[in-house]
Amino acid sequence: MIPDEAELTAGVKIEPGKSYGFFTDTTRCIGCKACEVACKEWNLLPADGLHLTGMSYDNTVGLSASTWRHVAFIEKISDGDGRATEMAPYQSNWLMMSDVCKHCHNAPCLEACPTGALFRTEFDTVVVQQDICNGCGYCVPACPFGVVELNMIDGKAHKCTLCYDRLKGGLEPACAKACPTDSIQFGEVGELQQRAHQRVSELHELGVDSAYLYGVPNSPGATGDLGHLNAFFLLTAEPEAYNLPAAPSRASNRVGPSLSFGLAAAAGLALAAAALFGWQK
Amino acid sequence: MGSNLAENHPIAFRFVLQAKDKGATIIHVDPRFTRTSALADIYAPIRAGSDIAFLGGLINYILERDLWFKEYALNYTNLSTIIDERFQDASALDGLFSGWDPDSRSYKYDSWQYQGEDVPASIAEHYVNTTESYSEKLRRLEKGPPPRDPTLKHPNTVYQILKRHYAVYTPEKVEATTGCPRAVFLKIAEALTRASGRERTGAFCYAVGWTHHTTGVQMIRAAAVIQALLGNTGRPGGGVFAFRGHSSIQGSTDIPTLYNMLPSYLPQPQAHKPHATLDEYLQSETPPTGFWNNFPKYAVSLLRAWYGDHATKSNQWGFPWIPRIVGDHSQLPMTLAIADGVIRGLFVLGQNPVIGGSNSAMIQRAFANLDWLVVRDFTETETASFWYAGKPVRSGELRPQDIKTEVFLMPGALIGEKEGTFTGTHRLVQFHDKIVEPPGEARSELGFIYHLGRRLQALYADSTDEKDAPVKALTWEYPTSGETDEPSAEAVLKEMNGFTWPDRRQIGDVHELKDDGSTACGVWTYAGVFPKDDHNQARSRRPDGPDGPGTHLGWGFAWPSNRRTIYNRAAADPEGRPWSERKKLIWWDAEKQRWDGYDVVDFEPEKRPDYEPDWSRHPKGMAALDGRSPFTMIADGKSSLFVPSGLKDGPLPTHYEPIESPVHNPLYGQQSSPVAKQWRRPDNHYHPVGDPRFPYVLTTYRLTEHHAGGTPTRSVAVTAELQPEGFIELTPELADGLGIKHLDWVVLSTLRGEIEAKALITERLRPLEISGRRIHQIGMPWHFGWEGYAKGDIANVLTSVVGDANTTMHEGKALTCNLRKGRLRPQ
Amino acid sequence: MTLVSTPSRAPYGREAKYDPLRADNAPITTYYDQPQLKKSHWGTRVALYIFIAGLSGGAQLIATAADLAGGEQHRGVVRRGRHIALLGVFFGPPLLIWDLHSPDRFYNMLRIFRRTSPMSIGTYILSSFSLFSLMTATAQLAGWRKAAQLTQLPAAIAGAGMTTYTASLLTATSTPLWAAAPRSLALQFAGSSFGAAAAALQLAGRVDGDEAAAPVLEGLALAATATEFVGALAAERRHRALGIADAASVNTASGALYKLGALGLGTAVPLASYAGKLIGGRPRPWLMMTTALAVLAGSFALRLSVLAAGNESAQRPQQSLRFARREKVR
Repeated sequence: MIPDEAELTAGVKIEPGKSYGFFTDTTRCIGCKACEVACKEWNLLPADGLHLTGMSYDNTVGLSASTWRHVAFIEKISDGDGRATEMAPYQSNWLMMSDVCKHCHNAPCLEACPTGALFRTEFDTVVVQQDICNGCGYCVPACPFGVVELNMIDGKAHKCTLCYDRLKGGLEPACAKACPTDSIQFGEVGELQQRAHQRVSELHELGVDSAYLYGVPNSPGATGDLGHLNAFFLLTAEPEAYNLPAAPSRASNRVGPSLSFGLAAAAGLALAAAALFGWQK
Repeated sequence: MGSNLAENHPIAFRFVLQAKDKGATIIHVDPRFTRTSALADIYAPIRAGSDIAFLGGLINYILERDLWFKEYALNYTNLSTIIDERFQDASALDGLFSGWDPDSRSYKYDSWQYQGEDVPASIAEHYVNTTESYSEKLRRLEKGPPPRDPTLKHPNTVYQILKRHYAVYTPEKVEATTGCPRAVFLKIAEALTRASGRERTGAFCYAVGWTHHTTGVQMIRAAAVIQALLGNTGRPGGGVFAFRGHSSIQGSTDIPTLYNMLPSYLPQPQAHKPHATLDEYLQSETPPTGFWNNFPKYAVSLLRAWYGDHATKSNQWGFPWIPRIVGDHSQLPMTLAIADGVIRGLFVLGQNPVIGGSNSAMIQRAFANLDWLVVRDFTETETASFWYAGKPVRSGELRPQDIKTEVFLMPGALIGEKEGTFTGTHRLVQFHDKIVEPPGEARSELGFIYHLGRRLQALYADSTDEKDAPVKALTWEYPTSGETDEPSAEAVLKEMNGFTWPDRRQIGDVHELKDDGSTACGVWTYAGVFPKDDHNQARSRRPDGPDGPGTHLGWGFAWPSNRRTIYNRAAADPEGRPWSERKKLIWWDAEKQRWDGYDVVDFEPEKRPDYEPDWSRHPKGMAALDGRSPFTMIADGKSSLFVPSGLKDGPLPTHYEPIESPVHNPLYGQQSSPVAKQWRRPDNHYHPVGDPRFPYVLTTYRLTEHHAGGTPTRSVAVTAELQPEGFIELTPELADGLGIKHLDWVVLSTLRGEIEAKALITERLRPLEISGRRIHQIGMPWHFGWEGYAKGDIANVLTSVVGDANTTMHEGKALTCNLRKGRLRPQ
Repeated sequence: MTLVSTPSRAPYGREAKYDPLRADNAPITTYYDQPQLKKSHWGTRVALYIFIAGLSGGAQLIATAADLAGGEQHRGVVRRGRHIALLGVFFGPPLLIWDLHSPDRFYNMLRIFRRTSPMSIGTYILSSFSLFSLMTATAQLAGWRKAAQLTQLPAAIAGAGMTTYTASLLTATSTPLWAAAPRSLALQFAGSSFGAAAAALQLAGRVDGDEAAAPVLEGLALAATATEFVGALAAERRHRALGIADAASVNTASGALYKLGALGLGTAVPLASYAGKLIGGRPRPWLMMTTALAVLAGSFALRLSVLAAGNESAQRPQQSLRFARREKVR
């Protein structure tokens, strides 16, 4: 084993206390699904089943308890006048995007978890501790991206760990390492964000006006108090085209209004009861 | 073109994207809009098999508009060479060239030669069927330079012939033949020709999308012509890249697994050629000029490596022991020979011919004729289970109890369970170690072949029969280790590298090889891969780093001589200066009076750029090439725009239709390649031109998610789920016409067979207007079969056995078929 | 499904003003209509728990109110209320543990407290409610009136939580139907819980032959169902404003259950019945009994249908994606 291998493969020295994440640049994605397979191989995840979906070349449909990287395929061969021949530089007209857990800055799954199984690691990533999770499943509807899911065989919640075990060993996460075209880039979030902004400017200069970032501060995806997403994306179509919410929100923001309103109503009704009893006395 | 690089060579596509980052324009020309097209700047849809029409159009565009790179092409190609006055071009003979013999259905090559000089081919088949004594005629090459007219005015210069030949390949004809809209074609022509000159280069990438045609060799040739005209060969960022198969296909060509070559492109002795003795063989196969003049050194060193002490000068170093071929023994005719009961036993290693071979149902019936069949793989393949699960068995045509074939399924080790080398597309040899022991009885191919050889030698040890002598004489001793007596792959690589005889010191470079028996070398191009006993260069992993020149000479070993760009003399101008600072690779260092550069120079290190051969002394070999002849493997050192020898289907790429086509050739009366190898027999019918029963063009292809015959990926759940079953792709227009809905079952049929699959309706395919007719193309991945998790009918049931005249490569990329909605059998 | 492309408007990218509040009702281009969210795994078990939690919490509150504000004629309500509260004590935790997918690790719920998680908050509400309700009931059984009066206060405070925290539990998710209306769902659940408790106490009194508190309980049930009704109206307005379907317009069994069960039995029937009596209708015991049963059934139907409709809304990308356009990009 090579110490600090990520320095060689990603130019990143992995140190606790820093924020790590993914910058997934869809304009470099060739839809090879190496990330999906590398993830399943490293994390020993089973196949989800054999279904020819007809959804272009996407036969694994979405993220699940046993699919932590998922490549979406969107065919937009016709755009304007007929089927494309001259196209924007880099990926266009057949969109492919490798989706993954966003490792939100304010992660609704983590905030929902009543056991502390979901925790923030020393690498600023969000991980389910399998030895603590009791399968309450509350993180599942909490996630605004539809990422985390229960496995019905082991009764625990599962999602991308950003290869927590590999990070501890100084290794780049499996998907990023397997990505042949650097569509998935692993690194420190701040540096990735900087790189991503630069990439968007470059693309705009090349005439790819549709390029934008999803999940960096002040952008779609980083909405509703979620803060930034440690795993963020460069997209060229509306977020919904990739099955991403345009402006997701932090579920825990709704605890206060709901609980205070409910308790006020309960108090009101209790007072009403007291009044009624007192009046009848 | 001819390559779906992003899908089938995703790792290599990394470098395409890096080129894009530096401003390259990516052009994808393909019958289907693929994941490669998605990353391209321009996508051109074309009809499968019409590539030469497209490339010919580009050549015409370059010549018509005078866009070729003058300094490069005039000096480094045979553009100004004068061809025999008897030569007649396809433009004059409606698609045929002069020398056509309708009786033998083949060409006589006399009229294709340089005026007054015969030119040997640069590879394997050096034999030209001229009337004059061959060696006599070749010897004229030593007497003076080939006849040239640098003014290009002579009507029989290659330049004038090219102009005449490609004049008919107008943008209009390109559109009518390929279906690619004229505007798109012109856009591409413009972008491509911009990548030319001192400052810029451009590259072509191809793969089996070109080779799997009856005109495959000429498609590649057409790209080579373009690149030579634009000055894009032997220069950084230039070239014609053959993207080879993942399973070390380049290595299997080098060593090789081909029937007509000995290791590293030495011709296999032929019974019908003057190869009776070593002297005759060497005499007839050694070109007098150019690098191949070294041929005897490689041949004798190979014999020494094979026969060791048994090889002596008096027994011609063992040359008589090498078996002679008598004709075409490639896979297609061999399959037919099995069908006809000529071949009784078969080894299948690293292949799944029931899936990958043309006319699969015929193959399965043929295999039922074998006495024995050995299949080595890591799981049961369709080839191993055809006798109880195959298509003819399921249809009731054959019954397992009637099939007498004895099948031996031998478990094979996987890549991490054995050591060895991979040779990639860029001739880069990389060694890999064994990570774990193979489970159970699984063994490496090397171990299997080695121990088989040991047993054969033991079996014949006491034989005095002359026919057993080759087995007895073979050097077959490699150190083994472990419980399984696994032979050392490094020991084999050492032998491939070569060593001195008899003291066995590793040689450092190909130039040390001798023809007197004092060196042994298994693969002359690999000389230098293991230069010292303890130095395996293929194991080296030293990259240049971001500031280095980018040739990465410390990473692995690129044959020959660890050279990264072959013919890199062309990276410097005729005076020996780099064409530009930007495109600097090698240069003539006037001070040191030698060539220098970032790469291993592909030229005689001290030959001055202004060197001229002294013809009065009848120079041989490299001495006969001037200082401006980068293409040293060719007898005149010049890139062959026009190929006098070595090709069976013409000296210039010419558009012929695939053997099965819905249309008549829009360019010539000659429909398809006149010399394509065809086997018309009841189990291998071809569809006539425009047969209304088979109106659609079918092209077969691969998916990123599966590997070749599918064995390694269909049998693994996490890759099988990515593309879980066979399907076809068709246009929405065709689907509408036939009432087919997304994911409906459909039946595809040809005269070879019928299969069913689900339909993916997609705009990634589009109908094409060919000569005023609307042609629909259907695509089908050919990975699937009945074994593993991801299953589907075998696409190759539809294909026929037909071959390229030069290589006998099949034509799986372009054929015709019928399509209907429904299932094969009522469910 | 089709692979034929539809041109998209792209308000993203260079110089594009991103407007997530776009009010247009044009269908959103989804990803092959695949769910964008994962639905919760909650079903009948959790619906039953929410119902029981509300019922028992409400009962404890009413009992405490009766104890503190009422007279001697209300002692039966106090006693029966404390007994009904035990439903939550005895059935609540088992139902929840049963719903875990690794129930043997239920105790991990007490490993931490997380104020952002209604599930965690609820764990402590349920625990304290169980503890104090049990103490109160024990004290009452033993006849220690003072002790019961002391422990009933924390039990009642926890009981208030029991009536309504379950609405927060649903609301603090990304499931659009629940998340869209945090306040109105809380009103609905609180109202429904009180309604159910009042109805149950009414029925229990009837069985005991003690109808002294019936008018108070009827009035309370009227107020509770009115609160629930207001909540339902507010929720519907809110859903409509966001352009997503509410429980009533979910075009499946859960929609029907919501309309007939939650709205019909849970609010319409009691409102009509209690209001009728209040206006001066003749007291018809069977009608009051039936109404009480309707309230209970409606309360359970509310929880069951809202859970199911929420799960459905999570599966509908048009719903979730539209809901996720309402936030501002800052």
